[in-house]
Amino acid sequence: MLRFDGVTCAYGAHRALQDATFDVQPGLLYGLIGPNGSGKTTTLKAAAGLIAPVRGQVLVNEQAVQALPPRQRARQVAYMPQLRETPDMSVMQLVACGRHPWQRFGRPGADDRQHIEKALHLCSLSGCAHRPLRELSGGEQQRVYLAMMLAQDAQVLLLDEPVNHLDPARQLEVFSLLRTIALAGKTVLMTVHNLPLALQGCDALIVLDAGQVAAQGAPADPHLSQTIQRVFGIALHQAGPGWVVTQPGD
Amino acid sequence: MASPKHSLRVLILAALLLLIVLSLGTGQAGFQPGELLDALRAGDIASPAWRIFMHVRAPRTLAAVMTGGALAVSGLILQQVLLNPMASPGLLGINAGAGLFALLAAVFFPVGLWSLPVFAFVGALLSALITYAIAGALGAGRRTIILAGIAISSLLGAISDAIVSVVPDAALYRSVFSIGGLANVTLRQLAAAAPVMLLGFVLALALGKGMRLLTLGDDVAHSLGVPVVRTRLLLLAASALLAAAVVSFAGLIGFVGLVVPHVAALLLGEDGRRPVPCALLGAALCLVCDMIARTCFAPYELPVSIILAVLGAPYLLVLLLRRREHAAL
Repeated sequence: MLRFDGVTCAYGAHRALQDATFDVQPGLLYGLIGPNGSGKTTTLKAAAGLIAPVRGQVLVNEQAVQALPPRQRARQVAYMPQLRETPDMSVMQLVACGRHPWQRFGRPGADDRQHIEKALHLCSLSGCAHRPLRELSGGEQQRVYLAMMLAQDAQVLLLDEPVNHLDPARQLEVFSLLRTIALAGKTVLMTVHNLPLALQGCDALIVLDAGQVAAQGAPADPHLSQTIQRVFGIALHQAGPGWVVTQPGD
Repeated sequence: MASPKHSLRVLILAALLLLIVLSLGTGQAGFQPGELLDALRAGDIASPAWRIFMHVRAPRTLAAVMTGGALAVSGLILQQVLLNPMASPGLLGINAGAGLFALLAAVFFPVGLWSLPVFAFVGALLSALITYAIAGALGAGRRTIILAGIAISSLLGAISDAIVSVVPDAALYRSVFSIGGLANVTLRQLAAAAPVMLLGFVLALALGKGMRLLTLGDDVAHSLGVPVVRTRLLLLAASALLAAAVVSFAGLIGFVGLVVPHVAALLLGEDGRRPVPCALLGAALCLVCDMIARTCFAPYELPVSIILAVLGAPYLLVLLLRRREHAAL
């Protein structure tokens, strides 16, 4: 389980996240939403141990993330940033990097190979395992990074905009995959820019507004949808299983 | 059946061994291999063949191998660690820092053979850290670090020039150092530089995996359990050790650190981004260029850095164009 306990993060004098307190439980797909600059990426970075809170602490399975040694932290928390590099590697080589926290010396063992194969299969990459990363489209590269993250086999998965650059069918595929992973007992928290997709695809949402947690709960919770409408300055309408976003008053 | 890339690695190693033999046997003063073997059997260290071999050919061949291997790995580390394909010891102020401190060593400790590589390393590391810190303070963009490196190089070069103006005795050393070359290198100089170079290689090999993971970006490397800052600083130190060791006996030799990592990656793919294949290729390139430098214009000799630039630059351009064509398909 991931717990934010009164976490405040600052860049100089600017407080990007203020007194954030919430839990992310295993088994559910959590979405972190909020307008631009509301502190979504800062929240994920604090959870990944990339930013040290100036107050409060982030706990993973009751242990402070900042206090964990790097390799031990990497076995518990995996983070996929929004902006990613395109290294001179094949798909397989990049996915294999995910096993680094579990290897001390030498080549990957049978257990590592099993995780790599499984991650490639889950992300529909088995057919292009030996292709250079540079030859793939942005969306395909995104799936390779996702596969690397799955190969890392961490308890907590933090994803910054994992469905950007993906076509609608792939977006739903990734949501479905992440839901499967969550159902397998992992803790999954991701930022989602596409509001209807977040409302439709996530089991629980955390709404950030100007660095503060404005609301949290299930997408169907009326209080949550009222807060979303206020924070984003939009109107939300449920249409069948999905949601439609319009201007207020429409 | 061996993969094409494995075959290519074996081919590069075989080519390097062949080049070493050719380099040992090539020069303006000719002697038959039999003469050298006779001198060896007779223990005649005064024979011309033995003297040419031990005082000219062997140091020069060894110097070319060490120069090419060390500069290639130094450049590889910088390009990987800074995520900048333009990074090289020459562009980041490392060479200029090593040169300034080597000049200071030559001026203040003229008889201390061991002081040269040590001073050169301190200068190289200091300039690398200053460049890195300035780029970090300015936002650490990939271009920023190159611009910061150019600024630091210019500043350190100006300080070196000022020292030469004030201490005329330093002018000769500065001139030899600036042109850069492998003529007149002695085994004693190489022995003094070898421990520094060896330490750099060992660090590069030990941190090879961390170096690869840094190419995924700081955030991903951190997420995979790499202590990013410590790994980067140690790798910068390794790069500085390698470049400084070369500067201490060969002066400024550019281009190897920039071009060889690219050529290695284009020939060997991901494997070319590892220190050992890169070092082998760098050593082979330097040997070829040195043989051309000392034989093609005999009795005159060109500095090896000129040949490196003349041969290496068009080759890199052709390879880059070929890669662009492949990428367009």
